[in-house]
Amino acid sequence: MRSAKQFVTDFGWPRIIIFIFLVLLFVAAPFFRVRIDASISDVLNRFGQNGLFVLAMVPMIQAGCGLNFGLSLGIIAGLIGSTLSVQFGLLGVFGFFGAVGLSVPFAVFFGWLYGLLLNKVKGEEMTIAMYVGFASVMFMCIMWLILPFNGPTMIWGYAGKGLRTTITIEGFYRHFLNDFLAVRIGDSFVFPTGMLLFVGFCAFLMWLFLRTKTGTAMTAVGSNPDYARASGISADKMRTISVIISTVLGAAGIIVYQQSYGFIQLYTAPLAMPFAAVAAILIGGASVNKASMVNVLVGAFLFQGLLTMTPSVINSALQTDISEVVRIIVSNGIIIYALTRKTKVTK
Amino acid sequence: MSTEIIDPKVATRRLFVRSGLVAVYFLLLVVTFLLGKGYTLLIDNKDAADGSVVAIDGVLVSVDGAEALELYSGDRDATQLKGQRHRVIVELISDGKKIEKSIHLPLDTDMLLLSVPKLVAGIEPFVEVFVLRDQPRPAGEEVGNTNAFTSPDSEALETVEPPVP
Amino acid sequence: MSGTKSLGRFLTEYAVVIIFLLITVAAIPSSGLSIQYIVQEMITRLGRNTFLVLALLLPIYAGMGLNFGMTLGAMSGQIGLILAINFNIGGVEGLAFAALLGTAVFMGWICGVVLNKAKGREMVTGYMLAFFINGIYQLIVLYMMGFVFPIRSSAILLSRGYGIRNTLNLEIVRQSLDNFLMLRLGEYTVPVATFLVIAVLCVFVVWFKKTKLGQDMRAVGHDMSVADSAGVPVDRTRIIAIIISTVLASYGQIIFLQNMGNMATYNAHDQTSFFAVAAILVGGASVKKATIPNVLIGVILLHVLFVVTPRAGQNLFGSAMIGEYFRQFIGYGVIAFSLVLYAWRARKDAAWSREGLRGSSSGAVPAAAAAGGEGSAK
Repeated sequence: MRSAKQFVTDFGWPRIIIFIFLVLLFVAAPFFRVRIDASISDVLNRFGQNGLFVLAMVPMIQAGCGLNFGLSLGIIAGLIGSTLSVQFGLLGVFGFFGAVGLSVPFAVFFGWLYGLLLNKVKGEEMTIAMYVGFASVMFMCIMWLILPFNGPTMIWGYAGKGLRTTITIEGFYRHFLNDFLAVRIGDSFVFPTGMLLFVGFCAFLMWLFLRTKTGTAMTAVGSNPDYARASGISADKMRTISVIISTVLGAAGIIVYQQSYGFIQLYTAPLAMPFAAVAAILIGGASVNKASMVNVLVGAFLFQGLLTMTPSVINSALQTDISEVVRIIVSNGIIIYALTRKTKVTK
Repeated sequence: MSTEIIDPKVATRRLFVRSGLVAVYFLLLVVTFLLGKGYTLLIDNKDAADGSVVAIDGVLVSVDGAEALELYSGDRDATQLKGQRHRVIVELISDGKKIEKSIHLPLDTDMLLLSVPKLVAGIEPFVEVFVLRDQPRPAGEEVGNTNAFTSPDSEALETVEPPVP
Repeated sequence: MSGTKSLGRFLTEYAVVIIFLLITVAAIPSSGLSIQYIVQEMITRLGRNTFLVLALLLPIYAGMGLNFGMTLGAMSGQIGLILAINFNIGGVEGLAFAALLGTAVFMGWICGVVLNKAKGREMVTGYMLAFFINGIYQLIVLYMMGFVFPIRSSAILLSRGYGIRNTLNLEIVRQSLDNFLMLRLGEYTVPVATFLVIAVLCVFVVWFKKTKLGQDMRAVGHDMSVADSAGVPVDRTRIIAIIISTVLASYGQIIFLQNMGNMATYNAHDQTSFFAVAAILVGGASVKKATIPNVLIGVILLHVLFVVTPRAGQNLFGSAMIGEYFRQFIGYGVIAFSLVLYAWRARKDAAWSREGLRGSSSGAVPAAAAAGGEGSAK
């Protein structure tokens, strides 16, 4: 009895309500002629698309930098990598890994600068991260217009310059991971094996990393700074490393997202992406200064499940388009909940 | 605040002052409502449907001292009013006879029709609620906040049109 | 030595203002706009925006940072306007009705309670709270109005019978405050009544700072624990600061919208806090310190830039989009830059006082850090 109570306080009512809500949605789905297999397939696909973004939250939370509202920096690095990959005409496996490879140097560089900045502003990371992210997205909007890309599928036909808002990657690396070992059952269920394996592999690497010497040092900086200082760990260095890892994961994340979605989305598209990732990991049970792999997996699944199921079930049940509002309330509500929770570890 | 010991006299006075302020606040709300309530008053110079009165050829109608409207038989004009109480002056062009009436408009409506012939003939009520027939509405309007910025992750797969290859 | 130091101080203090002034001055000629046009635009925009920006002042005094939760006030103002239109209450009375309706008090109270639970990260929490309440606002306005709450005017409802239309025509209150007392000065028109309302608010702010409550607010802003031990009800004072700010923001939004004349029911509040916060920071304010001159300078500088950049972008790069992106970039960049500058300086000041390099005051370290940004301005 006590452990159940403990579990509830640890996990928090909002998350339990969301979980029950999702289960109810799945139960109710058949009554509103929503196909369960198609829904599950959709949830798995979205889980894979967004998994890396959620994973990217972990290192910075662990290192005490808070929620990475500046994930857009990583996404921008990924966009640079993927546009370069398409520009160079890299196809299939080369296209995908080319995009990742090309984006990593940018991600490391951006992450390094971003980490240095965040070290200067301890205590205000989240607000600043948000605005640094917004400003960089806007800066890149200008860049997308004036950088000398010239792939015919990429630029505006009538102007002859400036990248399109959405660039198709059909024929480049679309569904590269999705179709790898994909299992198709019936006509509406596809198990995107490759993508899930890739996400799982990244999560496993993260799990391993957190258990290495550097990983534990990073966690120590976040959870017990006095101890970390006493044992001679450089807090600033660990924080910078965490930011770099987060940014690189963000870059890889957007490329995984693109290969499944089929398009590169530029300009203001990255503005809102960090919020979804933040909401997801918080729904998974993470707090502002503690996150685990379980939080990532559960969170990504619950949040994407909610995003998939609310439109299809609620809209067909109530005959309105109310699901968008439900989504806004749930995802932002969970962020408020996490931000207002008394944190046990205080810096 | 809660730990402070308050003299009961002060507490009572405070209560009075505060409830007074709240009352004044609501009074202001009501006053703005009454003063600002807008109406469209149609001024109509036509034969009544039941034939009780006939239109007058040539009247000047002025509401609240505004510039007079010139109406001939069969004319109808509209004026925008604010507040419930208004003064209508009707002047017959033919003999210069002036009739002055004060009208009080009901709160639950926006559009009323004042029949000049009835007013001149002294038939009450000369002001009636006017119900507009259904107006056409703009079709295909968008619903809700479509701004991705306030709606994180609204990338809604189906709404993005595939780019031209 | 102290001379170079104070110059350095001055430069960091006003870095944002100086950089902004330079960009603006550089952009004016390339926009090709006449000075008369820009001046008239500034008069209009000062009237339209200043009230909203002034709403940010009190929470800064109370040490709660930039009140990104002011969007809640904006939404309350919009609900007031929707109801004024619904009851067909026009003119200045309609604006007063919308303002007096008072949803903002409740919203402000919610915001204050939430922010009290998130001490130390008020800004990001306020920002997310604005998103959250935006969802509630849409739930009420888009689904419940005309369904749960009766709406008598079918003209403002969507054709499906419930929910308010996307664009609300504010015809009956359009510029009623501006035109209440419009002065013609040569070739310029000045909305005197609007400026009078703004002046009254400025006087209120100045007066309020001198009251007991205003003093309490400053004390809470300096150091919450010191204020608490001095018997100041910290949580209550913070909630009052936020309620006043939210109510002022709702008035500000009403003034803004009556000038615009149309209301995008579901988008009008999106950028409210962004523009207001960017303006006050451009004017040289920081998270801990802001004055009325900061507000006025900020509104003018930010809006001159906003007026000229699209044209400048068109003329310099042949694309108005570049100007559009550039002004957004500048807005976000200014906010990020000022926040960084402030956080960085506060840390440096804290480090100084820890090492005993600054003065011999025996005051608490955090108090000195908090006062660092404060005192340097005077």
